[in-house]
Amino acid sequence: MKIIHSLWSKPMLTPDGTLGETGWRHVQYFYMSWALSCLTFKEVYKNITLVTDTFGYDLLINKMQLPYTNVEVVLDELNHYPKEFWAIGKLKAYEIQQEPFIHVDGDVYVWNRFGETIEKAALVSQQRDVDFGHYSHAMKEALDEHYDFPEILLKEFQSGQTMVSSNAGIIGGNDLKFIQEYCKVSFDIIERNKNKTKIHGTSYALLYEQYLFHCLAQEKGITIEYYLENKSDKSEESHTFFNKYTQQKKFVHLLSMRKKEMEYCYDLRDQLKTNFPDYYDIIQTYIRNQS
Amino acid sequence: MNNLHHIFHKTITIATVFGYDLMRSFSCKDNSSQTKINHAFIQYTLQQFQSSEQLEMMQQILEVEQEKFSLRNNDSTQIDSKIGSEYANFNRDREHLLLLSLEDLKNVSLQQNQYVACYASDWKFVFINETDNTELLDKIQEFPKGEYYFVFQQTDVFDTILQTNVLEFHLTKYEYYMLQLFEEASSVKTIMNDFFEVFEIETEAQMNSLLKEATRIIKFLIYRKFIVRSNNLI
Repeated sequence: MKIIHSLWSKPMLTPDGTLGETGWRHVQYFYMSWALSCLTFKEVYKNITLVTDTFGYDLLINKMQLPYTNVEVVLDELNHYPKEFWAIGKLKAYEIQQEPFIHVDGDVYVWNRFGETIEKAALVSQQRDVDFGHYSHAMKEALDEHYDFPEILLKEFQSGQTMVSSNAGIIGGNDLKFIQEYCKVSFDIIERNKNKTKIHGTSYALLYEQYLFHCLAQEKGITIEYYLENKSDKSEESHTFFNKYTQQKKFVHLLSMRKKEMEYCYDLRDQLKTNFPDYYDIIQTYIRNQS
Repeated sequence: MNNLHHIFHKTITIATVFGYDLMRSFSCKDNSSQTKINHAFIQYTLQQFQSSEQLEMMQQILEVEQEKFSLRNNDSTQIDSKIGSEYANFNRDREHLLLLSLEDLKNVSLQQNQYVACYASDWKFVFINETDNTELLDKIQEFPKGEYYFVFQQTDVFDTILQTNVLEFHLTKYEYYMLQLFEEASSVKTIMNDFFEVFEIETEAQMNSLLKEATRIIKFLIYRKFIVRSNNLI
């Protein structure tokens, strides 16, 4: 199975072209996360492809010397889009794939394979995301601003059922025809609404990336295989490195606000420093040289 | 003014729940040492509260934050190579310990990490996301007076946002109890037996369930480096 990372830098760059807000507690953890993610996937899957832009290539390949097996520098062509559309770098990476793949975020780390069920599935996603208000809030916000959505999204939303979507921590599959269509519909949503009043970038991404994936698959009757289950005993929570030592699925996704918390950043640093000390040292040297 | 905002972040935040803006009215000489400023701040804070429950709560949180302050190193340059190299050993050893079968792990001698201190309090003062005031206030109101357990862990990383290298972790009652059992170096097998003794076990199913939980707790304590191999301690 082809594993893909993608980094579109524009959403994180300051006007002077340096790295600004990365979503992490400190920029050093942003570097460490990309390194640990690349290195753990490389160990498990042997190959990992990077889809990025010029800045991303310079950072991850030249500066951090990460051992990607293949690199495609194609995301500069997205730079006419506003930075709030941060998820479109991922969409572009899905769109250009010619063979089955799983795209993994730069804050996802693994210590064993996803397994045959996932790797042979038509479509895969990290887990079913059940709305706790954030999806419906995003949808209402967009509709209040007269955003134009395709019928499949509106029909599902207006059914009144709890919104369900597909977490894109890992996403992809073998059904490339579906994925091509999904990307086309997604970019179409973005194009149709690009001149509307901007809504929160992450809220919007929930709709055109994760919610759309679920709705379109449902419309077409294609089953999505979810890697993690939303178990009531929380035994498949994805955000703790304790999973590496105690779970069958040795998988961590430091999503959302975990990136801001000292505990998780400290654990991330320990993992990199202990298991990949050379890359930890490269990052420390790079940080020292920058300052 | 100095580092009071960092050192007494929770005290200052909790006081606002009771309608006090401690930082607005507290003053001291700018050239005093941090220890003297802390002492003056503690005295000042306690004078503000009349209600016995509020006073009790403020006394505890002041004590907790003062304790945390005493454990921290002042900045990254003060985190010496000793603590750095010890944590490097702990991290490497953790990888081995957590891969051992339970039978092998039972023969290993472990001890509470010297950089860890555990405490109990009547309110739940320790939360993960402590930089978020709204969440802190919500959680304090969500958890009434009771029994809460937590640890402070002196680490080899200085966090520039919180201005400390001390991490806080909430513990469950049984995690706290288990950690206390490791105060002296002892084999995992011995500690597990001591742990089981406080329960009235009547059936095999209860025993299996307890064994599963005890194993989880020990692995969690190893994972967090709250307990480490006793010959790793200098």
